[in-house]
Amino acid sequence: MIFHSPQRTMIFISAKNNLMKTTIYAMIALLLPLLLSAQRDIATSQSSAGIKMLSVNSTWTNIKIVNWAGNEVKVEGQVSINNGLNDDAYEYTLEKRGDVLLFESEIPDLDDLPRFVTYEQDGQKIQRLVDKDQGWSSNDLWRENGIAQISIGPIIEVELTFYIPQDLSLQVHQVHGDVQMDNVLNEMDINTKHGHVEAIFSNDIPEHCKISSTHNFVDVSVSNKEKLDLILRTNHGDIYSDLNLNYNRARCSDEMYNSKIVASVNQGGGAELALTSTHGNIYLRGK
Amino acid sequence: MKIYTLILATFITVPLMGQFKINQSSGKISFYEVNAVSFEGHSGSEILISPEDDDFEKPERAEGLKLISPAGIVDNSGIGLSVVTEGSETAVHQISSRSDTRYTVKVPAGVSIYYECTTHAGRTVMVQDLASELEISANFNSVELERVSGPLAISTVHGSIEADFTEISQDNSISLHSVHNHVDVSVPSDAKASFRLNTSWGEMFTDLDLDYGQRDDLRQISSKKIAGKFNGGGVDFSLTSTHDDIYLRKK
Repeated sequence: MIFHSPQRTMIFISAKNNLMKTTIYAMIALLLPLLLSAQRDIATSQSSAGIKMLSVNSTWTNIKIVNWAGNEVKVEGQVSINNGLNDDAYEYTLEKRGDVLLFESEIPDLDDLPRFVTYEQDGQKIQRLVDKDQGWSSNDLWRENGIAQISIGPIIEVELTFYIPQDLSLQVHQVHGDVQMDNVLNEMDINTKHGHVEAIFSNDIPEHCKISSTHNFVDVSVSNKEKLDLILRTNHGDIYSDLNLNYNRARCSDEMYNSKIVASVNQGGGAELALTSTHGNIYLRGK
Repeated sequence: MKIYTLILATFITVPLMGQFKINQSSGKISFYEVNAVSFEGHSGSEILISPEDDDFEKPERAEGLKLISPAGIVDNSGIGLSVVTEGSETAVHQISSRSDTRYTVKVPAGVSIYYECTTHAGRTVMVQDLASELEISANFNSVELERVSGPLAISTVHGSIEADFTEISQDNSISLHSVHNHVDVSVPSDAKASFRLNTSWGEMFTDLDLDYGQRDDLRQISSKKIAGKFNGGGVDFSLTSTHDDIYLRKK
């Protein structure tokens, strides 16, 4: 059965031998058009009174962080899992532990969720629900249709925005998901495993700023007038910048799989900015 | 003075759609840690450096930014290389030590070449139709030379050396040394050279009729050092493979 979503996405439901499974899948398929636009809204907040740090420990979540003048941490956004079929599978908490406000999220039943293969064919994005008991693999699709680039798994789209006061220190540990920050002035330690990090500091920058990604890029924009002490590090990527760097050669390292640049900008003595991408590139821009 | 020279260099070096030109027809060009290079001789008066098949791709996200390195060098060529000319000498450094971009370098006959690469990212150095002096000091690169004449000083620790000579220049000595891999050389049957072949753990094979000269004392026939003249002798031509075989052929 084939349904067309408003996003020109075609969803296929595999009908195999088992009649019961076929019926269930067909029913799901019949409901899909209704669910395609469904998504779960997230809205939660906690007072920041007595809190020194916001710690975000999440996965499968794209995070945007902004400062605001409120006296609480507010989290808003949407969750869509398998185009609305499994939105409730996303679990999260925002709670105080001592002087730390901790946001945690996970999808505990991820392995049990229906899986889709997603690929492009003839300019169309196609999502195909698969019966994992059939042992379906990417090779089948490649053989059947000549498609080489596909993704397999639940379709997870979680976008959250964190509104945080400036006086908290900020710690983020992400597994899957990107982090975006627009003029966030909190002291920060941001780490993503698979996602990228983009940060813009238009006028000011926190005094201590540590940003890293294991498998993706780190892209940071700063004011050209900012005094900075930099540590830029990558093992398998490249480093790009348009800033006028004053290298501290004695502390730089130029080994095969260990590139470390220690440098200052505008004579240094200002913010300490440490950017690391183990497998990706680092982009440091002056604005 | 150095500042003026560098300023001058910026005027005489021109990036052109994936090709970098240096107006230099004499002196020396040195390559440091450029992993994959093919050298070709040409009759022009410029050195031309281009990424092979335009395979140097800057990420779209890096638009407006320069590739930088811990050594403090920047990509001033637009093709991933730092190129600095001072007087009649040009130094080329690769910015990204892990890059596998292969660069083709076309060199006028009057420019001598120095190539140095120490890391295991070093790939085979390809040399074709070269009339310039060439010196290579490598740890892991193999070296393949086609239609060359010398003078040459090639040294690699782990790579092999294969060379096909159109003639043997009598201007200066030729040495081809590998520590752990084979050395395989073909020379014209009428070329003149005084060969020295040396191996500790390999064998030596040749079809050249070498003149070992007359000696009054006993020849050490178990030695793996041979000195012999070809066609009456000529320029010193040394072939060494410490742990592998040496092949010396006539064409």
